Amino acid sequence: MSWLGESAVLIALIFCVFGAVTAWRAGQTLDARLELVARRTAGITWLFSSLGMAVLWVALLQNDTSVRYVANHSVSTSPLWVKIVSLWGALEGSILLWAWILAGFVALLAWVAKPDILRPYALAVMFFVLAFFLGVNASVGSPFIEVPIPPPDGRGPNALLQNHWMMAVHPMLMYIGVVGLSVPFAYAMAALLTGQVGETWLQQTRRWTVTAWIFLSAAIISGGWWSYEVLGWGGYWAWDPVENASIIPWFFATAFLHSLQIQERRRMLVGWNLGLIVAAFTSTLLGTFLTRSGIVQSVHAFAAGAIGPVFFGFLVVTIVLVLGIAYQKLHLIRDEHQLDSPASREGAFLMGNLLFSSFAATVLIGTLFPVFVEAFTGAKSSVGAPFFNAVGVPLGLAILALQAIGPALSWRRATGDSLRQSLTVPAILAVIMAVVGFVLGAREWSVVLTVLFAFFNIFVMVRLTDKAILARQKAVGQSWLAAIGDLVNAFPRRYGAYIAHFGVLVVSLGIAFSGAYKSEQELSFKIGQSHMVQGHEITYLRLVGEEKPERIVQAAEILLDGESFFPAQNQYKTQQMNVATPAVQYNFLGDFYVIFLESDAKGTQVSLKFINSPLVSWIWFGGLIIIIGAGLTLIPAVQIQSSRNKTEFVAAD
Amino acid sequence: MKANTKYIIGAVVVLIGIAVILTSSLQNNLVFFITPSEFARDQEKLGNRTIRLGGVVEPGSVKFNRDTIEVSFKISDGTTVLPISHKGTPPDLFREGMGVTVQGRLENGVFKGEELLVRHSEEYKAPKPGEKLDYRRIVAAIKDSQ
Repeated sequence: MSWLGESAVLIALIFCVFGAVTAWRAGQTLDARLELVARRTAGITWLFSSLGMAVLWVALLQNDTSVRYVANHSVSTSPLWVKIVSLWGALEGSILLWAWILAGFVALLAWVAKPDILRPYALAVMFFVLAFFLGVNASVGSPFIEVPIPPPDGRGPNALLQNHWMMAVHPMLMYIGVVGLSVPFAYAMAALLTGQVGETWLQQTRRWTVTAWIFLSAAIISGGWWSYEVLGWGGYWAWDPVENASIIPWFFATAFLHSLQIQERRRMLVGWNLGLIVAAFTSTLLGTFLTRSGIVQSVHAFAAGAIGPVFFGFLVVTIVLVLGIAYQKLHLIRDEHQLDSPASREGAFLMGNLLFSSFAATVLIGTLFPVFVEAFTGAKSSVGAPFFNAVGVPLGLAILALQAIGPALSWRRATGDSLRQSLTVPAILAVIMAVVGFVLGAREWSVVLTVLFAFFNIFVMVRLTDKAILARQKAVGQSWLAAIGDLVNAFPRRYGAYIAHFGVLVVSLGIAFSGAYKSEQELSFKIGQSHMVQGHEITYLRLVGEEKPERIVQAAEILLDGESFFPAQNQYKTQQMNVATPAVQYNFLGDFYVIFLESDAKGTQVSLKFINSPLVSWIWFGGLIIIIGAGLTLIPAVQIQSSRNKTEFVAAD
Repeated sequence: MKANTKYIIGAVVVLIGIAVILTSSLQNNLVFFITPSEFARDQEKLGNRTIRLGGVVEPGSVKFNRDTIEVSFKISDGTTVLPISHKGTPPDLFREGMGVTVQGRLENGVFKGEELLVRHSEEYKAPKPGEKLDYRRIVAAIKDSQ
């Protein structure tokens, strides 16, 4: 079995290198036939990469322990779906998946990309990156090493990874998002190499970028949800290095997504845009390096190995190459216009770039600081959530405020009159809402400000939409509803962004309230005993147990407000680790979360932990709204009639 | 003054503001990992700063009160023994003679643990009665895992 997988990866690697060289030559010679060869090579590379995936899947499903990856990370008693997701449950398999998704992106790009001067170079860059990942799979990170004397059964996957179905979804989303960022990166490089740093490369890749961003956002939100459902601590974000590694590229990609509009509209911020997408892409590599090398400790980091140095080497090579190319083409990176006024859409986007980049830098510094402290003083240390919160809360609030004002600013220069017209009423209403919040009991300044800015956002968007509707009603004489339909059809990017922004507000409120007003309590219960906990009546009934093939489940049956709940502990047979399955009473305004901590041997007395987390589910719903909004911006705009005359003309026709 | 210079000054001011918040909160929130001996030596200097203590759970010292859900034990590196009190249940893998880290701080002369972490290790074996613990090796292993 191993030999087939190894050969598949090796052949894919050979085709990939051939594709890189051919695409590069095609770019230099503008030979259309050479380019066609490169494009077909992309498909063949993907086929062999797929074969590698198929081999590993078959080995996992057949529990073929002669393959080292199966022997180390799978077990025959696992349910089918766990065996399937075990493919990316450990280091080598996850890189195989990464390479396969990247190979898919190369093939798709080769198939659908617009034929232009950028395409061959973009393909060459994609092949170059893919060659690295396939190379890792063919050497230090091979999942297909043969075990000379196969053990009777494997050691089983990590207990944390088999306790929730989200593990089948979250890594997939993450890899698609992260790998998707390599497309705009490749085009940015192609733009630099050909000297075509105008807006073409951005228009060519905007859909790719938005799609990658959607997957990355979905992955981060679903990762938080997994953490909330499985880790049994009532939280969703621990500022763990792995989480940080995923949020850093997200910040850069978000800044890029906004900033690229200025280049489209005003041919400004060329350098910023190139820099942001390079930062987003290289930070995905940095994150992979950090979490796969053992350099920073993390609850879900993979074991250290030779892969760390290899990733570091690739990261350095990539950065040196990019800087070298950028330095040579520095004279081309010029803006056609200058900023007319800071009170303009451009000014707001520029400020946004600054804030998002600072946020990314903050997270990076917090993640790496202990490494530096150790290097210089030898002392071991850690930077915890308080640091990230202290810096992140002001930055997040500033971004929220900017998000409110941004859409109301016109391009080039916003006049005082138009600003007053669109901002005064919303600002007053938002202050009233914040005061109401204060009176109702919100005393944390960060929560009050979040409420203030959230409502400011909403009222500004309502005001702007209302203005646009009125203008259309005047021009075309439509009904209110028809006007909205036409506006959304004509400006899907604008209204998609409004919806995504609204989602951001929902998420922000969820984070603010669940962060500030989360309350915890641990209590001990004897059989039949009842306690009142934060307004809920809890009775402990009995301890129940169940033995499954791969694990032993112990649950405390409790009555929560008269309903049965079963907070449980899972003990996986192949691991020493227990994993809690909390019981959660979900509620729109707040979740009530019960964790089974421990019991005495007979179950006559148990300890339970209760966590009350207000608005926490808003984070998941808000995430969904963001994704829907961002998805809407992908839809092409439809031309609509702009005046009443035209309507009559069309009718007469 | 050229318009561009003004924007650059503005951007620099914003960045300096962020940098100030960043460095000050980094200083306040850096949690050092130390051993009980280092803790005893630097107690004056540390005051009630949050730190992460690493050491071995002294055999025979663990008391878990199921009614109040409080666990108390002694943590040791072979030379210094320090009593710890922690509100909560001990983690699943918490055993006597095992290396653990406790994040917390000194309150009224008692070290209150806020977070109790057990480093999962496949090598762990329960100590036999009368067996001498190799404190130095266990503490070194916890330190390495930080």
